[in-house]
Amino acid sequence: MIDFEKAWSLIVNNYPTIIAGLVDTIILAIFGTVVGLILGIFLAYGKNIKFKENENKGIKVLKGIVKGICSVYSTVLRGTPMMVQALIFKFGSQALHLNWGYLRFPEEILDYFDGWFIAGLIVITLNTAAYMGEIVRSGLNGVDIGQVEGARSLGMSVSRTSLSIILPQALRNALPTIGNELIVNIKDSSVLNVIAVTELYYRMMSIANTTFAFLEAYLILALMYLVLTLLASLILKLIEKKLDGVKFSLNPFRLLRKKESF
Amino acid sequence: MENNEILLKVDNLAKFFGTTQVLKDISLSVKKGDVISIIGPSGSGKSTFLRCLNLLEEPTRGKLTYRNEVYFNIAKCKDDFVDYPSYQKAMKEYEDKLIETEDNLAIYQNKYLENKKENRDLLPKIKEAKKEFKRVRKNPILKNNYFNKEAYLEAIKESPSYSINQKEINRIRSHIGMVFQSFNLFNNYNVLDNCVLPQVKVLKRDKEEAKKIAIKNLSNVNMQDRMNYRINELSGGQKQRVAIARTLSMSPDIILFDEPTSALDPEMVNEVLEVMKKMANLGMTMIVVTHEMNFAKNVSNKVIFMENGYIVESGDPETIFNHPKEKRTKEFLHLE
Repeated sequence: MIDFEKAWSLIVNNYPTIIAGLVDTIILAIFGTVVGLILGIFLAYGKNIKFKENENKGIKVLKGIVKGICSVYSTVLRGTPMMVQALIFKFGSQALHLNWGYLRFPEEILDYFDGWFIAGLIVITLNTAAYMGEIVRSGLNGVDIGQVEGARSLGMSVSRTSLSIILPQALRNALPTIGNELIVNIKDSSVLNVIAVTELYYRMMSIANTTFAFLEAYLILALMYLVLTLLASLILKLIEKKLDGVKFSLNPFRLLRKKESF
Repeated sequence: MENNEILLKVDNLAKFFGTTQVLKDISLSVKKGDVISIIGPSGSGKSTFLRCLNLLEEPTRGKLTYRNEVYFNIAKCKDDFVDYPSYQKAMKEYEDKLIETEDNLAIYQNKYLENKKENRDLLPKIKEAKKEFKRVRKNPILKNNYFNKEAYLEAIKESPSYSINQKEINRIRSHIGMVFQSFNLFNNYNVLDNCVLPQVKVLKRDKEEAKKIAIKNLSNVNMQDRMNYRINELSGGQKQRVAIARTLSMSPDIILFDEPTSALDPEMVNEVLEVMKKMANLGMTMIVVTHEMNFAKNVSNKVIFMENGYIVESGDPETIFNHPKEKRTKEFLHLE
């Protein structure tokens, strides 16, 4: 059924293409998650705006507008498929006479980067930001109100309190969910093939189409995604342990052992 | 004499939460070196009073002065001109009326539903009851009707309100430390950084200097060998002692204690009380809300008994604990 020889020759003959695809997928996932997280923090603060009783009317209106924009953004971006968003982005920018395919890059990096890749980065970042907004918001709301009171009673300003006390704790609490988002991004970047982003799935598809080894190609592809996501979750676990003050170790047996409780 | 310098002065402080008045005209002056214990039953407004002093809770009215500097002053507030007793009475009547008309409607409706064909003549009655219910519901009691607006505007003209900006509030807060019932230590820093961070960020102290001060204060509370521990690795008593050290590191003039031992078991209570006793002996000005009568009796030089938002009685611990004048104080202290 599965022709192992065929599969092996497929890898051997096409490994530069496959590696280029891998690099693209990893860049898409990590860039999308990190920049999406940063945008998501702003989005979360925007959605968390609270109105005070005795406030200037102009400020109240301004606050309402910002809050409304943030809510609409996250509702729309979370409520539509990323594939459709990518297509709308592509044709929308074409309608504005901006064709991502015409962007030119130096020869040396042309294997990895082209205009469509930049478009893909933008789409995945904007999409992730909407989810990250919700994730960070739940993290912010999960921080004990006593932490705020403690900081304020010492004379810390509002911005200092959220920067030094609340945000670090919120991000630590949200880290498992943020990691989940990274894993989702590794897999979901594959839908960007509709706007010709040459990531792993796109390259494997073209290899399969030329060699006619469809089953083998897609099995290899699945295996590669699996390895990528496993690696990602391992790294995230390491980061979590590091933040919790457990000694850093790559030994898998030590990793699996639970943290001693006090 | 310097010892008689008034650090904190409270005049006519009041606080409303919705329609209930939690604090009613509280006045108090705190001299340098005073250790004031506030005792009283739960819900008497002790904690709210303490939180009003550093504006964690914004008072509705009153005047707060720190070392001749007024940092909060509202002489008259809207709530003073609302006729609350009649408002609450009207509210009660309205609610009763609402329930009565709704019951009336329900009775007719149930009767009709039991036998639709026979009780057809009930339909106009149902209609009438519905109308009545809707009429009552549409006319709720408004607070505005009991609010004497003219008098309020007149009063406000004579005494304009005054409150300072956020930056000034933060400066005042750095002089008035606070220790909480639930510790409120920063979970994302270790013990030492908990004491260093606020000094560096608020008082703009040099990091090395801040570290020295933090270590000195941590040794004062006997926590010097746990400086690199994380907060979740400490016991309750240890947490509270670190919280005291953190407050002390800011070199405040006054420290407010909001039931510092209520979340601790008896063994840990003692270690915290020891630290507080030590601070009192060193001449720290403290206001302590507490249920520890022994502490109030032995350490403080002034005891305040609060109930229902009033200061019922205040005086030195000797008089309050042995021959209080008010009947309520005697009851509370089981002297009768």
